[in-house]
Amino acid sequence: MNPFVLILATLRRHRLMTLLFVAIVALSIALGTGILSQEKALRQGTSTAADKFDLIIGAPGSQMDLLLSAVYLQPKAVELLNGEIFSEITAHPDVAFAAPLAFGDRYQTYPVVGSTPAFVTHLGDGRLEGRRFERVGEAIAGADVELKIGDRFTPLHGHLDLSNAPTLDADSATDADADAFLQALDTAHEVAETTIVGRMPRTGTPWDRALITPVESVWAIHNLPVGHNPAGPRAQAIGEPFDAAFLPGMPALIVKPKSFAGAYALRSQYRGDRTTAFFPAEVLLQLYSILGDVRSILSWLTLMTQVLVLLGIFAGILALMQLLKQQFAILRVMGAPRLYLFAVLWGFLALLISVGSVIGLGLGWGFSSVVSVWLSGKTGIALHPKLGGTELWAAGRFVLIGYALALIPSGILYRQPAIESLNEIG
Amino acid sequence: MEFRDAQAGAVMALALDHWELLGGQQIGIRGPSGAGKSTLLNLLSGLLLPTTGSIWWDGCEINQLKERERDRWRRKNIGFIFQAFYLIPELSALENVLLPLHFDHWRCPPHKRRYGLELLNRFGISRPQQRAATLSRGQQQRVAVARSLIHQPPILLADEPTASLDRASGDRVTQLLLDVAHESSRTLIVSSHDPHLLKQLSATYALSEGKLALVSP
Repeated sequence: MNPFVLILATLRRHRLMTLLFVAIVALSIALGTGILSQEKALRQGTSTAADKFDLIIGAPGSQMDLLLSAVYLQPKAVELLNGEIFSEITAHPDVAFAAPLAFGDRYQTYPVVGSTPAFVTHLGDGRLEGRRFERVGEAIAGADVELKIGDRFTPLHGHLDLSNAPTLDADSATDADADAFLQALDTAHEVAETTIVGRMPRTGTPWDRALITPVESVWAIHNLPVGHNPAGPRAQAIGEPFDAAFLPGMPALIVKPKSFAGAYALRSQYRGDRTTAFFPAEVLLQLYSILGDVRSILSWLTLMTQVLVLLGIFAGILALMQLLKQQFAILRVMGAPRLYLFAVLWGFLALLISVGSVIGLGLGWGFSSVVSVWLSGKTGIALHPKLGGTELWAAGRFVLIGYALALIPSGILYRQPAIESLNEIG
Repeated sequence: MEFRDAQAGAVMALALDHWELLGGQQIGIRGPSGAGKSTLLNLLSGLLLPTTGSIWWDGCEINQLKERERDRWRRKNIGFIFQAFYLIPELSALENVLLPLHFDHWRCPPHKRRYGLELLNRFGISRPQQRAATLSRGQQQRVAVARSLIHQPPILLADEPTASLDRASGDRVTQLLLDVAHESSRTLIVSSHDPHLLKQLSATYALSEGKLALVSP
């Protein structure tokens, strides 16, 4: 038995209907696939982006705001952590390394974040093109920052923050006043003007769009103490060790614990009135549960759509049934067994559903990829939508239900006595 | 043998006390529309079952066969030709001829394919790959005759085979049917109004109000 000869003939006969059915199957599968793979890509992307941030410690307040500020560089107004706590944590026996983060400045659309050379090493796994910053006025560029090593830039606050510059009264100013004013401006500019000395490898995180400067320079621009005794030998130094007496408040600390147990010990020790401490994963889980709810709702809606698509197809087929019965009756007269007719109609429907679903999987993945490129561009989080078990199973479920439903019209055809249909032909 | 049409309120559609044919005869059946010509052909091919009585072909009582066996018996023994040809328009002439083979085979046996090509060639279909939909009516009926012959059946049943053709095409199909019936001693039963066709057959019956009567010879 070879039903394909007639399946292909049926495809050609009902070409428009075939195309329409394949298209709506493909679209409904694409919708489901797109939602599932996009949600998974978002989970994986956001979770990977937080990989380097083992434990975040900040002032008591919203952990979500801290997470968004520190990991995803979406600065929120967060309380500052007392500088002394930083010294205390650095000295803690469970801590492998800790680094302060200072946000709030930017150059063009790139956030400028202050931290320590150790943090640069940590974030890039020690890989770095060029070298780490060694003094104020040097910076590291993220992989997606459009500045080369050797390029110079001035962060926004370097331009605007002239609060420490002398004011100039145009009416009474002498030449000397004017000279002093211009010199003060130059000084402010010099402090702020920064040279790129190194470039981070790609991390697939929002930090790819960041400019990392010594935390001392961010503090300096904001007229804060810079963590070192201005009268001491390390007045111009950057990075650790800091002098606790000269540390300003800081929005967040990134802590890498020495051990798994140490991580939990630190987390519970620094959850209290003075500080909050958390693993990014625990906050992300709250986010994912919302994301999961949204996905559930969308998935149900998609499932409904798919059921409607299948019902639509079979309503269409049942409407065609009279025509099909007549076309197929002639085969019975030629001696075709009932099973042959059954195989042709079922095969025809199964082919529409299968081809539509395969196209839909590709389409859904493409749709998800386009959304991911757009989202990655907006957030800097690398998103890699994949077709995995979930998407394949969702499409497979649709296909199986479709195959089962296809038994109905095929069964009707199977049970149809040949002669009844033949009489209807003429 | 009786056949009552259940759908038409069990009206007696056909009643034959006894009708016996010799193998290899060419029988014509004429009668007004609705007299039961198609019903008779459907009964003879096992598409309909008699209400009472039985139908025997060469020692086989076909109304006793199971449906599946009757399908197979029909496939091997009956070639059916219709007034409206009923080719699959999307398939080529050759594919139409070979179609009944696919009820049994995944691939056409090569000797059957050669046989199909021979038939088409003999019936004047010069391009066997031409789509059936693009053939003339006369050509379509000749392809349909070739299709009915692919299993080399001993019985050919033709229901008004020339009624939708012009005179020349009709005559050609008539000649072809007679030729293939004669050369293999096939039994040919034709329902027709066409006097040109009927006069060339070995016997003609008239069917009227469900009764069959010999009119010639």
